Amino acid sequence: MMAGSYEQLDEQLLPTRLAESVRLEGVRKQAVETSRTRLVLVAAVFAFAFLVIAGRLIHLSSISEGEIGNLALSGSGEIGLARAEIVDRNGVLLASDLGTASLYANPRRVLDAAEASARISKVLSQIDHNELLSKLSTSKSFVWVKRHLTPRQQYAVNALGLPGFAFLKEQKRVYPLGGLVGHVVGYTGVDNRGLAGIEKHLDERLGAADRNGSAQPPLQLSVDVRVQHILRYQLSVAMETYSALGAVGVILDANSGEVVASVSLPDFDPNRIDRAPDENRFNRASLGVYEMGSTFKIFTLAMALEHGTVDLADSIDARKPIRVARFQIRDDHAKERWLSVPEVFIYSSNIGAARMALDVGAERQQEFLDRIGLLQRAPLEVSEVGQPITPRPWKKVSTMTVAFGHGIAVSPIQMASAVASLVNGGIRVFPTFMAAGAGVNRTQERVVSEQTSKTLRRLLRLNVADEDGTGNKAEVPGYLVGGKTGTAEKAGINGYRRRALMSSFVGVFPSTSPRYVVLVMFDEPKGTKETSGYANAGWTAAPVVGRVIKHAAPLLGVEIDNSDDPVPSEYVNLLKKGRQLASF
Amino acid sequence: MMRPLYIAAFLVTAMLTYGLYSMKYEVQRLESDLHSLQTKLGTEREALRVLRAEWSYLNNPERLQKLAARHLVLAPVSLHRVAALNHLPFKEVPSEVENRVQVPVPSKANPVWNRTNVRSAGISDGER
Repeated sequence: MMAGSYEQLDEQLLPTRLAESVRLEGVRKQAVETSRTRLVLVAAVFAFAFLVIAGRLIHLSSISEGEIGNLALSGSGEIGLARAEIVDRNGVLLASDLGTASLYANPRRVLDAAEASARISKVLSQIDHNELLSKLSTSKSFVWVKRHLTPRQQYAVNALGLPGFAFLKEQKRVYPLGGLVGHVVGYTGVDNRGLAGIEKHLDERLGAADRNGSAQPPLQLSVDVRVQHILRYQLSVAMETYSALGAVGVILDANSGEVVASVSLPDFDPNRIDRAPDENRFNRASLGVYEMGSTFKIFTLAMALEHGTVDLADSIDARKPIRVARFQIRDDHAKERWLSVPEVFIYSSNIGAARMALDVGAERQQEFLDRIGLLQRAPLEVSEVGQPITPRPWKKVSTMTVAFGHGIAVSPIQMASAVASLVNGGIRVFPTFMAAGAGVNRTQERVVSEQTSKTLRRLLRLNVADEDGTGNKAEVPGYLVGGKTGTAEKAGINGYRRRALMSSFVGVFPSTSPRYVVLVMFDEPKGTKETSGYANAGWTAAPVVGRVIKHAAPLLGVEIDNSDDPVPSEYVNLLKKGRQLASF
Repeated sequence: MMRPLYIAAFLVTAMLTYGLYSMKYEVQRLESDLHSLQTKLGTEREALRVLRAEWSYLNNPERLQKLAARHLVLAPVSLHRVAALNHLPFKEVPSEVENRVQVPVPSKANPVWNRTNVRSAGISDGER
């Protein structure tokens, strides 16, 4: 093209130049030369532009197919507004966004406000006629009439055919399973921002669309809805039987720390959060901190065994209550004799536990409790996590009361994970609501030795297997349940209230190599005829743990095992006779 | 002398113009196709989400439990019905049957009917 224009130029200019060169020199010639240079310059600029266009054409037509695919996908932005789904560990949908229509009005275009609001309020029962009328009488150009209509309502409003009203498509969070996992998943507000639970804590992860504009992949939780249901069902039945104020249940994977089920009753339906009272929104499992009572003896014993201040053959003086300052530490069902270490555990002797803790000492006790995560907030992925309440300052009497779970308050999930850390072979677990593999931080941080862990498991098993054990109502043949009861009096204005109990049970199964930790707790249960009037943990919480394990264990894939291995009950019986004979 | 060149250039220009024109409309058509497909895709995805939510809603364990209690005569498996395979007693296998069967049959002599036995038998069969 460039060459062509040159030739043309030359041919056109040549005769002129020849003709003129004869007659003219100087000014004329110079003008011709100038115009010629300019033409060349213009031609060069054009040539360059054409080259650029040609290059761009080649580039566009040789674009790779993958890039086109991406271009095609990037257009699908309309669904990008949705929040990511939340699914349980088996992929069951727990929370999803559905497109709904929201009704709005442009009051300036509404013809007859009175008639319109009368007809709308007739169709939408929640809309108040006068309120809508006042909204429509303003001079604004946009007012919400009602957010998130049901398809039927939308149809009805459409059928009215009122001018000035229109629908806007919005996303609404729905929770198909209702209240089943309400406390864990939480809920969102009308603008689809997380306000509680995982929805709040992981709001950014769930809400933010990636750069292609498509929604984030589903968030997989560690919760198993089948097990969750079993736990919730058994708890709600028992809560009614015992007329309890509330109930908590936690099932934790003893090795990974995954929370398989977490129930706090009373609970709420996140789809109708506006109707739930504050009491129901309170997550007792993670936010509530409670004095756990005797279940803390698990920690005291583990600590004493680990530091070597006692071993199973030792015995401890539990003849008389201990007096410290203005406090008196006594046993509920005092044996008033020397107790072997297993006896201290299964008869749940406060005196024995207090003495064991004193032998270990306050400093090592604090260090130990901190190591199993009881002195700090649990690292959970919900926005409601309770801060443990610990004695300040940690006096001698604190050491003694903490030994049997008073004067220190921790959350049930924290409690379960601390027990898991001790029984799983001694490796610290961190409780989590995320399915394993999704970046869960697993440590190899050892908290107690393999041997201590084993002894502890055998003692927990003894407590359930032995007919004298406080936890024997949690026994499920074949699953080798081990566990410890805890009955704590609730603190009132004038000290502890004897009638208001927190009855809990921490179970472990199968105790030969624990896979799950089950914690059940009732708030102020009352005794019934079946429990012989008792409201303590052995009669209320322990049987519920047994029922939960019986129903949930097959779903959790725990095989029936008959290789039982508790601490031999001779440890209990031998001493019972021997010491009495020796007239202590 | 220049005429054929002009004519050729004119023809090329005309062809290119037509090509560009038709290409442009082709692209426009494809784009509207893409758009309608994306809309459909969006609708389908939305429908999928609704169906998934409904599936989850209908599979609520609480609801299933009620339905099962009403319509089924099933109860949770009681533990005494569960046993491991190697706890099962085996029937005596007559020797003529054992000779005919290619895979190892569980018997007193070979009580554990495990996978490795079967698999190794299968492989040797195939090789034969």
